[in-house]
Amino acid sequence: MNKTKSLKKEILSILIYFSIFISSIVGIISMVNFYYSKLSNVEHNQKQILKQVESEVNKFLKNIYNISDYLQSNYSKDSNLLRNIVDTNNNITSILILNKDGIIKDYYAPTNKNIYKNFDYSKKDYFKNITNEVNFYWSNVFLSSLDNALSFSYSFKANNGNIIVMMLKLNEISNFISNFRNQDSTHMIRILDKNGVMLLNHDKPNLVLQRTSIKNSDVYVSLINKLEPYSFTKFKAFTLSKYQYGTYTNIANTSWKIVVREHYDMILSSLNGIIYGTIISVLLFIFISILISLKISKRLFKSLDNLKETTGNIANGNYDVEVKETYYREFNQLLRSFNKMKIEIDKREDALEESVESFKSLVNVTMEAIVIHKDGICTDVNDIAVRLFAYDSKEDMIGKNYLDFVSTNSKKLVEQNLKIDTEPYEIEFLRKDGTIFMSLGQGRFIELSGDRYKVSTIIDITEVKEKDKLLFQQSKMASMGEMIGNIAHQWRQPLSAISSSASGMKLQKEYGFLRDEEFFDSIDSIVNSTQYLSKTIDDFRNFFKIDKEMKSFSLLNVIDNILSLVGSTYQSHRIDIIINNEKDFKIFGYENELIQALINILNNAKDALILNNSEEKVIFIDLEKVNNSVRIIIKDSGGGISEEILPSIFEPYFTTKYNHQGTGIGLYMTHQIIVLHMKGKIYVENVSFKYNEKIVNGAQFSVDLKISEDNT
Amino acid sequence: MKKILIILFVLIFLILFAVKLNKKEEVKIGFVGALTEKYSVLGNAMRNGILLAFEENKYIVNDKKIELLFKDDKNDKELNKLIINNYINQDIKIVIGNVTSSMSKISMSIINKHEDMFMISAASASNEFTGIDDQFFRVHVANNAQRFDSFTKYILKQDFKKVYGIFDPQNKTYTKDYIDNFEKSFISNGGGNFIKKTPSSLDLDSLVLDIKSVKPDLILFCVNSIDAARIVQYLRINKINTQLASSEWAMTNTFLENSGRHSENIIFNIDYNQNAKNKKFLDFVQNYKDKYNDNPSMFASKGYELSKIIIQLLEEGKETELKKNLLEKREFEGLQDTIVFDEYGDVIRNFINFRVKNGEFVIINE
Repeated sequence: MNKTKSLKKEILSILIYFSIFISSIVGIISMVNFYYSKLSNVEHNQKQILKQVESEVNKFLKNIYNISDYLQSNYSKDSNLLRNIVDTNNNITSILILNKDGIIKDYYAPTNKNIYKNFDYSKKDYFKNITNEVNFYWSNVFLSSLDNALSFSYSFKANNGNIIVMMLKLNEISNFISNFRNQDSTHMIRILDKNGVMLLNHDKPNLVLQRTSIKNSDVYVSLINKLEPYSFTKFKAFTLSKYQYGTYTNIANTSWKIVVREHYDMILSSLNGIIYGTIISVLLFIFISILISLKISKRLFKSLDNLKETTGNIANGNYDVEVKETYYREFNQLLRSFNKMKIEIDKREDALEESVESFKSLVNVTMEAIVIHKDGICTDVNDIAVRLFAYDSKEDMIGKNYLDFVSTNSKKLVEQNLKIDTEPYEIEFLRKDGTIFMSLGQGRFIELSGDRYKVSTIIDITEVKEKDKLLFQQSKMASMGEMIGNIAHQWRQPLSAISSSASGMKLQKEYGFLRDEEFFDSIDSIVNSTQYLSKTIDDFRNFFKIDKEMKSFSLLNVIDNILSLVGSTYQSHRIDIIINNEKDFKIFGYENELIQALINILNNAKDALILNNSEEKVIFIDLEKVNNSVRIIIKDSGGGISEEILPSIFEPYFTTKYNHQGTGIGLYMTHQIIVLHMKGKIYVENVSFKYNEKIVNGAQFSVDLKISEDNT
Repeated sequence: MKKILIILFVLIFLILFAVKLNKKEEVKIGFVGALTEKYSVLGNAMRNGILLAFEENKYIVNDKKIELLFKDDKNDKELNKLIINNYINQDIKIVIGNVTSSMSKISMSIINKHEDMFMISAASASNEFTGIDDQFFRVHVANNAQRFDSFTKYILKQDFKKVYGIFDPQNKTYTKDYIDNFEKSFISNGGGNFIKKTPSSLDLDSLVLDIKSVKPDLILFCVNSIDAARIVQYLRINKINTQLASSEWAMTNTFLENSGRHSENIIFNIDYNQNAKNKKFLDFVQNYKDKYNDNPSMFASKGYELSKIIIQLLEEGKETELKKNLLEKREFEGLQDTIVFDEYGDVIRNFINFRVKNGEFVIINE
């Protein structure tokens, strides 16, 4: 199930988040913009300065080259040349003249502590690196033995094979770069030799004095080794863990690196004012946005609350509360619609209530008990059901299992039928006090609020059943009356034969003609007749036995029994009974009841034939197999039944005969036996058929009975 | 809304917690020594060795961040005191230094008052510091008479009887100590007293005259590389061809560079073989060259070794317990051999005789 959210919270969240998001995005974009424009300014500035310093360094180198040319050309001519050059040039601290073996032949140094002519300087870098192929050499920084101070040198091969070494200092460049400072007063420029040793660093002169190589530092890793000259990046300073921002250039002749830098923090701090201003503006904007959002939300929520209250009232059935107007027109329209709806609902609810009341009354005035149950559990009953089942109240029944109301005999059947819609069928129910009553019930499934309920309607048929019994009894009595007549018919002939034989014997005896042969013939005839009488008594006795259990029996047997019971009556009325089909069928049910039912139909036919005094008195009995059933068709030539009364002939006490001739029960009983007891079908129609070359009319009863499973 | 706010607070809390967790404890180590002018030859080499060692550990030991501070004492006593006191004020417990014994003596006088401090040196060899239970340790062998055994025996074997000593008066704690203990060893091995002990501050012409007047068999100098080169050059151009020998102080490339061909045949005695072939040493040399574009000197090597010892001790215990842990362990793997400390924090190492041949220090296999 999806988790529901609060609309209020959602609206408020969206408004606030949206305000914060938009403001933050605008703020961030502005700050990023400021940041990059600041960086761009810094880069431009640093690039200009680096170009100036590079130009100054190149100027310095060019000057040294010029002096070296001059020195080479004029050294032999002017003995004071070395002194003059050193004294007039601020960048040159001393000059050594070494012969081709590296021995000092001449030198000039204003502050000499350690060297003398003929000192062997053949192991010095500035001598060793001049070879036949290499005519000049720029050294790295070293500790000069002349003045124990740091120095670097430019050495070159003179035309006469001597090596001239100029000890140099970057005094002028140092002064020049000292002018370039950052906002935090740190110097912008650093100059490094090709080993990464500091030549100039005004901020950390110690690093210069200590000849610290920074070749492995981030200045090289992130900047010099990685990027082209004049490419900008962020890198860590050698001595600090703080970041710097800057670029570098390379001096081709000396492989020096000139680095221009600024503390990255300073760049950021210069942006601080703008950033703080932006942040404050953004925060202010966010604050105002939130305030507006809250204000709008408050009005909106108030409207929503009104709406909620109104709809809540409607939902709770409280229609009398006044609808409050809200700030927003749209909500008011909605509220008005709700109000209208409320009135309509009120009206409809009243109508519905009336309807419900009517329905309730209706339900409670029916003769049927109604039990509504879901999954076998009783959810509602009508008053009739409460009375029928003899419970104290509805509540006593609700919640109980429907099967608890059913007697043991019917439980299995009801349990099966609970799952399906059913036509009316007989059920034995239990009252609260445990007494059993017979009823006719049917069940139908209905959908209520998405759930499937079963509505069972129950009619108490105890009285009907009692009446049925009575009727049955009456019918039996009537049948007995008729049967006695039949017995009389049956017995008439054998009794007459007995009487004739006995009278014949008596007469012959009196006249002395009675021979033994005739005596025995007459006695045999009497014995046969009495046996016949005895059999007739057995047949009638069997017929009057009450069937207690259903059993499988032969249909032809049934017809034979009928003929032996009532055949003579038909003969006496010259009515032919023709059985067209000799094929036998097994039926499962109550045999005697079926005999009774069929005799009732035959009697009805007989009465019609006699009443109508038909010329051709005939009754056909046909047996037909229809699917799994056998159809017993009994038709007569009695003229048929009036179409008007045809639909009513199975109703009890319905008769067309005179009062003394008919009870109106016969066909009703037949219907009850076939339909209810034997689960069969019976219907009647008028038919015309040919008999003895004549067209005759009559009634045709068709009885469909299910063939027993053990039918062979 | 409430849920989002809670998540936001939890996130902020977690970030702050992670930042706090990520903030590593810091151990500060202070270096004090000459980093400029003529004494800086040793100081710069040591600094390079120290930096290389800690760089290999990425400046992190036992999850603690190492911060190295380098201060130049300029071989100035007052400046040195100031630096040491400043280190103490910063609560620094480990001090590496100094370059010269004279300066080490000043540092020790202050540091020894703090039992939780640890001072270690790569060069201060004065015997004055030997046999004292203090806070001072060194990876350089003290100038005791025994240490000179191989040196003096070799000298005597070469039949040099008359020894002339030159010492640097500015680092007397070491140089005078060196000359005196050499003399003791020399005598104990069959030699005699030095014929003269002259400070290197004497002007070179007077020195030449003096040497010529006493005609020594061997001149032994205990001065820094720059001064040694100057003296050697001056003696040679003034035709003094006496055999020269030097303390390890001048056994540097700077000396070779500044003394030219005149360095040939000069004898050195040192507990370090720059031509050693063991892998550990060769790796160190290669790494040093890669970083500094130069060959390491003995002092760079010792700076590296002492740094590795500090790293090992920090891995095993607190920064205030280095002395205790060192004395418990005593033996450490050096670049060329095992460094064994005695109970007073002095080391015993093997000494080898070298001679300069074709501009290089070569082991004397005699």
